[in-house]
Amino acid sequence: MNTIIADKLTKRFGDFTAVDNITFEVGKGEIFGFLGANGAGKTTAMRMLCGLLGPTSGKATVAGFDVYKQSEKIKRNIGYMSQKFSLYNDLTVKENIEFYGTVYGLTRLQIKEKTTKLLERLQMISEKNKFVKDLPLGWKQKISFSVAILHEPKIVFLDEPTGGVDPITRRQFWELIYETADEGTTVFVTTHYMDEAEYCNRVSIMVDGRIDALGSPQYLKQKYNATSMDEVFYMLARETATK
Amino acid sequence: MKQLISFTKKEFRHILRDRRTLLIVFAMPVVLVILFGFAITNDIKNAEIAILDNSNDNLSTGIINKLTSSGYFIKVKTLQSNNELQQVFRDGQIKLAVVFPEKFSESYTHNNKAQVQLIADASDLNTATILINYANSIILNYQQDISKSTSNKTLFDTTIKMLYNPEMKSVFMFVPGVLALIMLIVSAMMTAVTLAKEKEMGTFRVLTVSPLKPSTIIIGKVIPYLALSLINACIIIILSMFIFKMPIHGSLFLMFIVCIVFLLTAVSLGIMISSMVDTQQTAIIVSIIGLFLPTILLSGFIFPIDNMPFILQILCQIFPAKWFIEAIKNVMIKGTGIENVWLQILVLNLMTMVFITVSIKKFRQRNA
Amino acid sequence: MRTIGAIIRKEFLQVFRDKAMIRIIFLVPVIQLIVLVNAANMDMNNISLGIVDRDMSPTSQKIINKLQASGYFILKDFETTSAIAIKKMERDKTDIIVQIPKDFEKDIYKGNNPRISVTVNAINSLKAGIASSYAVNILTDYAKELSANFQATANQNNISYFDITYSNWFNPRLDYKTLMLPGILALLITLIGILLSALNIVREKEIGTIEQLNVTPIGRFQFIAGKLLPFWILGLVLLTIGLLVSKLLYDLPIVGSLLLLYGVVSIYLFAVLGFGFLISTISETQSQAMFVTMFFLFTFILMSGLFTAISNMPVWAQKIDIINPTAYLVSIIRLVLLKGSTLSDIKPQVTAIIIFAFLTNALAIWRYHKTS
Repeated sequence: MNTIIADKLTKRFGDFTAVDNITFEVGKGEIFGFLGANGAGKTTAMRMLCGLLGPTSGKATVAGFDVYKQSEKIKRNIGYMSQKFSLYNDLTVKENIEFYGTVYGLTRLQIKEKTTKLLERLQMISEKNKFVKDLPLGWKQKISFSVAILHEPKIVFLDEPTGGVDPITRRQFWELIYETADEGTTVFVTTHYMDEAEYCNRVSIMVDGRIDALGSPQYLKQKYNATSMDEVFYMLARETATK
Repeated sequence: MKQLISFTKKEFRHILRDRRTLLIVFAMPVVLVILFGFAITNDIKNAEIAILDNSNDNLSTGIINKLTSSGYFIKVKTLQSNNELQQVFRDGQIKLAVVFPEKFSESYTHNNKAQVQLIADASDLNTATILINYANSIILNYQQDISKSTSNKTLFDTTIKMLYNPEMKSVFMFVPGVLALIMLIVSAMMTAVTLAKEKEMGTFRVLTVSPLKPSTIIIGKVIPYLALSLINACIIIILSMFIFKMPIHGSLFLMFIVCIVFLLTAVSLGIMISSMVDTQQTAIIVSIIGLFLPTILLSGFIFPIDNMPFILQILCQIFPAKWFIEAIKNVMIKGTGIENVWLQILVLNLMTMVFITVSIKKFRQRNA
Repeated sequence: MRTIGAIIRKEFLQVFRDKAMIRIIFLVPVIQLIVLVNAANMDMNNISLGIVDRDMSPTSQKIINKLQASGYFILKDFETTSAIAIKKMERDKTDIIVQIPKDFEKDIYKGNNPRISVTVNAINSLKAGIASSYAVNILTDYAKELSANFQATANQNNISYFDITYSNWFNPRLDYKTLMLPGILALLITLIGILLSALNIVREKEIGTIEQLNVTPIGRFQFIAGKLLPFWILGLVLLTIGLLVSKLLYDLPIVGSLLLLYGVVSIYLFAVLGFGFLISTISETQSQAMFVTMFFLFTFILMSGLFTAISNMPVWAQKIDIINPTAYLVSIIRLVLLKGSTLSDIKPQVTAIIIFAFLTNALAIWRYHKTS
């Protein structure tokens, strides 16, 4: 069963078409990479799927709910981690977790258990009463991610989660993503780091609002006769430029 | 210098691009000045009064006629007994009641004294004070009139000359105040908020590691707002000339100088606020809470400083608006030259220097 | 319900953690309340008097003494030529100049009916009006006294006069503080309430946390309610502190029902907070929200009727004031505290505030979009 289905999904801002007729499906437990240069329309597409932005035309369902009419139902079933930093700097780690947990309707007991589990997994028990603003960026991102999956959503959307983070932390971050996918959660992730694309089950490459390529990293490399995803991406970009 | 110019240009571009804010910045003062220029007034017109006339003789009706023909008062109720007084006041129908005892004229001619009682609703004390004074002088005038017509001549007369504002319009008092309030708060707040925003977003740190000197950054950021404020001040002054018929007896150039001096004080106050806060939110709340009511109440805008207790009179001296209002009244309305505003200009400049010094200290502390 | 609780808790934590914020929300308003009530005073009894005495006679001296002894005037300047006296007025040294002409005393005895001229700095028309009427009263009184003496010797009839007495109802102590205290308290509650709410949502927009909230299942109503209640409680706490300070320091009379007052302020807070949130939802940045807020705060407060009476305003301005919630609160808080009005007396004002509260909150909830 596919958890995300997009069919000719389009978003226009005035004359500008940010997302142009994109069609794809994402299966349960899949890590789906959404690649593209800055401004290619990744974030806009993701915001539509999260119910943050109304589409102009096309169809899409997320977790079986329609993005036009059932955006509030979608919100109960997804987690989201945005490009902009999304935790409250002036609250402690524990307070942030408690806040979002309650908002998603977890009981006090559940929140308590999950907080301990989460902090143990991140090895951050001693940081629990620190203010978020005092933590390094990489730690903040890991907490953001953990908070986004606190309520065990069917799908988690990650918008450039590793931007500005050092390679070691990025590695750890991807380990978290794998663990989550193994538990059956669909991961939808945008990135412009091409090495990260290799970690995904399938990737789609967006250029100027369109999906120009879609498939597993192996398939794409074969198709374009390239040794790395980086190369695939350059070839696609050059193709568009010469058109 | 070149750096400063290019930096200032960049800031101007930021501001001019944000059309929505720009519209608010220019439209708001205009609307406020027009609104308050008309609405904030102590001029009494058609204040509702009730009459309880127990005599109904020629003198009591004479006084009533004088009161109601003055334009200040309008008779809305004629009462029959003292018992009704309480009720009409409680209902809020009237602001003032005039009570004449029985045998009013008789008492005047035979006992040389006739009692008129004025009762005001002092839960609005300003209005009560004004109304009693107006009524009082109308009755006194009437008394002078009738004593002239009888052989009872007074030994000397009194003439009154209202200097600078012969028509006794209250705009003369309030327009400079509104001008000061808007100029001060808009400039100080805008400056404080832009600088606080840079701090909050972390972009200030980015700028400080650039080859630009911190002073260049701040001056560059502030110049556009100074320019905006100055345009605003000009618009407000033109409005007060044409809409409120404020006279400009003094030199326009001097007035311009006074405005610039005051704006510099306001902007440096904004810089000082930004040096002491970390977020835009705090900058905004400090500027409004800290400046708004104190400027209205401690600048002589509405309440004369002479009436205040001594300690407050001293406190008033540290509010820039007080000095600006004095200076602008002197130049605009009295038409005096530099000899009567040099002190105000000096004090405002001193304040600017103090604010800047404090800001530099604070910025250094934070960046050290 | 738990969602609302979570938002309330979060907002409280954010406010109370910020020490600077606490000081601005509680300390600054209380200090302003204590200090500023003393500034609002229309009792004119420190009028600076200038004298130009060109007669220098016992009679002119008597007049100067009378003016000084009245308690309204303080002699600041004594000149013999009027040009210098006017210069002094130009420098704000004097508010009023009383000029006694040459040969004043002689002219009185000769029956020439001399003229004393009073010059007033009328820029502040109110002060000028009051000052001149004080001066004229004193001079007229003295004229009566003189003629009484004259006529006693001449054995003529006494001169008649109107004896004007004043009484001020509802505030017999004629105390400006009593009046200004509840009014300034009302303004401070308004300022704090509107500012905190207007900057709140737009701040989350600017920082980016709003995005995260928008993907959660929080409902629009829950969102506004959760944001509103903490500030509502802060407002009521501020009211309580303000009333306590007013009672302890200035012995504010509380004639009416405190319960009624709290009831009205509670609704009022909903109104202004809803208004603030409305501003916050339509603004993109905090500085935009700030300008819009400032515009309305200026209008609400300067036209609240506390500083100048609403009845003095032109009709169109009075019409604008129909939608000014602060004007209603200032009037209610005075009526209840000082006149002891009951709910039935203040029904129209309360109704207006309820309508305002309902409209602003409905609009704020409507305007708050989770999906753009």
